[in-house]
Amino acid sequence: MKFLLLISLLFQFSAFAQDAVIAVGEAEQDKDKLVIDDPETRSLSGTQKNLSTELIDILRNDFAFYKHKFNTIEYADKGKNSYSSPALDKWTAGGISYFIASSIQGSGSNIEATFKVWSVSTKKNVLTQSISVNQSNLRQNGHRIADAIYRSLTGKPSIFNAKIVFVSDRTSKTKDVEKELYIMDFDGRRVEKLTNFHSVVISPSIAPDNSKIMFSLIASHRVTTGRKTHTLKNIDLKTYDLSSKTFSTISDKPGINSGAVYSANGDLVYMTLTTSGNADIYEMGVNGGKTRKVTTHYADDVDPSITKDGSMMTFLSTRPGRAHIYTMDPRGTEKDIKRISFVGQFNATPRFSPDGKEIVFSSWVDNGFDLYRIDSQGASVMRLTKDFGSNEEPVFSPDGEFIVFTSKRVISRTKAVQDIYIMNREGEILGQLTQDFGRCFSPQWTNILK
Amino acid sequence: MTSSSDDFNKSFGISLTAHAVFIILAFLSGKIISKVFTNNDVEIINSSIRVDVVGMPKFTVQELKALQREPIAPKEPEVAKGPKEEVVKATEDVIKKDDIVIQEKGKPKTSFLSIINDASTKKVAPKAQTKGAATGKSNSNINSLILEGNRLSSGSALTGDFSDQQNSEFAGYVQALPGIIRQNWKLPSYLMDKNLRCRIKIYITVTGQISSLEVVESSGTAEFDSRAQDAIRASAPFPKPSDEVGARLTKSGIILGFPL
Repeated sequence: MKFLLLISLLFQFSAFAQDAVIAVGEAEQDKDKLVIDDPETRSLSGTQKNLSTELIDILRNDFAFYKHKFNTIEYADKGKNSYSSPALDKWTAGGISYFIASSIQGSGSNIEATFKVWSVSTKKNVLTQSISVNQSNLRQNGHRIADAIYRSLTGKPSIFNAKIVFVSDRTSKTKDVEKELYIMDFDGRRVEKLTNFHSVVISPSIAPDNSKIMFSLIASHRVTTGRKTHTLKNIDLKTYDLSSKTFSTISDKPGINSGAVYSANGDLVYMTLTTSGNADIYEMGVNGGKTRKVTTHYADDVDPSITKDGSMMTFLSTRPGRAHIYTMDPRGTEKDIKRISFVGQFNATPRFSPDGKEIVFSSWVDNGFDLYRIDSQGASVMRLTKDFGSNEEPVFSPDGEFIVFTSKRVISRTKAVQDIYIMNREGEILGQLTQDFGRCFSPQWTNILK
Repeated sequence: MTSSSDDFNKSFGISLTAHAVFIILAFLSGKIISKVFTNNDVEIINSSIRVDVVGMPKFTVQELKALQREPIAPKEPEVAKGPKEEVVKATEDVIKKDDIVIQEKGKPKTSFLSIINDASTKKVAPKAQTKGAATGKSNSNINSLILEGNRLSSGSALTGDFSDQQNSEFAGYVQALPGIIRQNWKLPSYLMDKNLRCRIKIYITVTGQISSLEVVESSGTAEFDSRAQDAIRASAPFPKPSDEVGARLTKSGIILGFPL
């Protein structure tokens, strides 16, 4: 018995003699301090000087969106030559990670700008890039150089070249509601109208190669029965080709053809059809044609969103009685169905993050919708908005760092405004992208092309 | 009779020895196998986390961050509680009443198995949807719970590590350290997602001060190591440990893994 006792003691001793390691866990990202210096300029005219100031402002404004990553410090110490002889030692002491210097010279109506990005700690020049800017390409080229700098610092693309497609009713007459399609830069500038249907455009979706926008439209069809001709309204699925600026109809099956999204490689679309009596999600070729049922439940299934690898779809279903979020494998029918949300009075518009690991959605709480983020396995729910109007239709940016959404404010009993806002993925509101532009709906990001 | 008694004693002795040898061999081979396959002779201690989703979260991510940033007053460590990090302190006891806790009866048991099996990170499935029905809660109560989300229960047993009674105080203390240090554990973008790891041994005095600090496993990147050391230094002084825990930390120290 003593022997056994000894063995048992030995076990205990061995166990305690082990070195225990306490896991501290993953680090939080510290903000990198970034100095964007005023440019070193050479004999610029008045217009050229304005262009040069605006260009640097665009750069600083763009980086301000990533304020959760970069602490951008404006610096304007006149009379120095930071481009030709950067004083990197001075920045080391200030805890600055990166220093951005530029040299700008005039060339007719253009300015020629060259940017140099320095890593202060290693004293290495990590990027040198030149760009020619005039009044018409100022914002586009400003975002382009900002993206090049961001890539040199992080190794990842930014959202600076991405655009946002959305729907607005700003052209509505008093009685007739008109919702048309618009496109703008990620920062809400350079808004362009894309459609003139004088009808209602619903739920746009952008092809993976950014070549087309797919959307639903309340279309009027002339139908002749016998001698009589009458107009029949139907929700058709259409596409707009951004380069040829032409429209085509993908599906005009009787009933609702809506909520369509592209598959990852753009050859398929997933959409809601009501041809079988209730709303179900179908898969269809990108040019229309034969459909395949993805969901078959008698409850309504709507609002699909597909991961980049096409292996998972999230959608909204009323199968538990209320609208809740589900995931499934869209390559099959009712395959691997899993319920993700269990709480919330009414959930809407689930959308995957670019890596497919998270879903952002809106949920009715108290007197309005608020936005939430949930693990795509249903593991944890994080609340993103509160006391900020009624927030709906959230969509992750292509780099996963931001979410755009619509936010509605009731002004009076008969008037409400609805605009598009941007926040980072942690729910920090960064700004309002549309203003005095009617009620805005369904923002969608264009993709980042490699 | 005598001879059969002798036979019995002899057989019993052989049997006892054989069993003992077998157990030792099993133990040693287990250790060897674990060394061979994990290439790691240390155990990693993680806090076990148990979360019951009872409704949509009340607090936003921003509000939770603001709560975390509030300074933590040094206090005696609470034993066998949930995680010290990400905890939103429950202000009332509503949830505890109908907590669905997987009770580990007879705890604390010997932690031998759990130590051999390494740190358990057993998850408890969310059971929010069954709560109302299971407990016959009225709708108004459920609605009030919906507004109360974001809450971690202090309930469940600590699965896995250090559940021995005699070690639980030590475990409770050291498990509180990551939550404190993590507030200062920050890396610049260029060191994120690099899969770097370093381990630092710290010795803590009975007053909660750091008496010494050494890098026992470097990440190979000096800045990563120094950032980890800075995080520890910035977090001191730690809560004052009890005399026994303090004596152990002064003598043997504890290894902190960044991140593991």
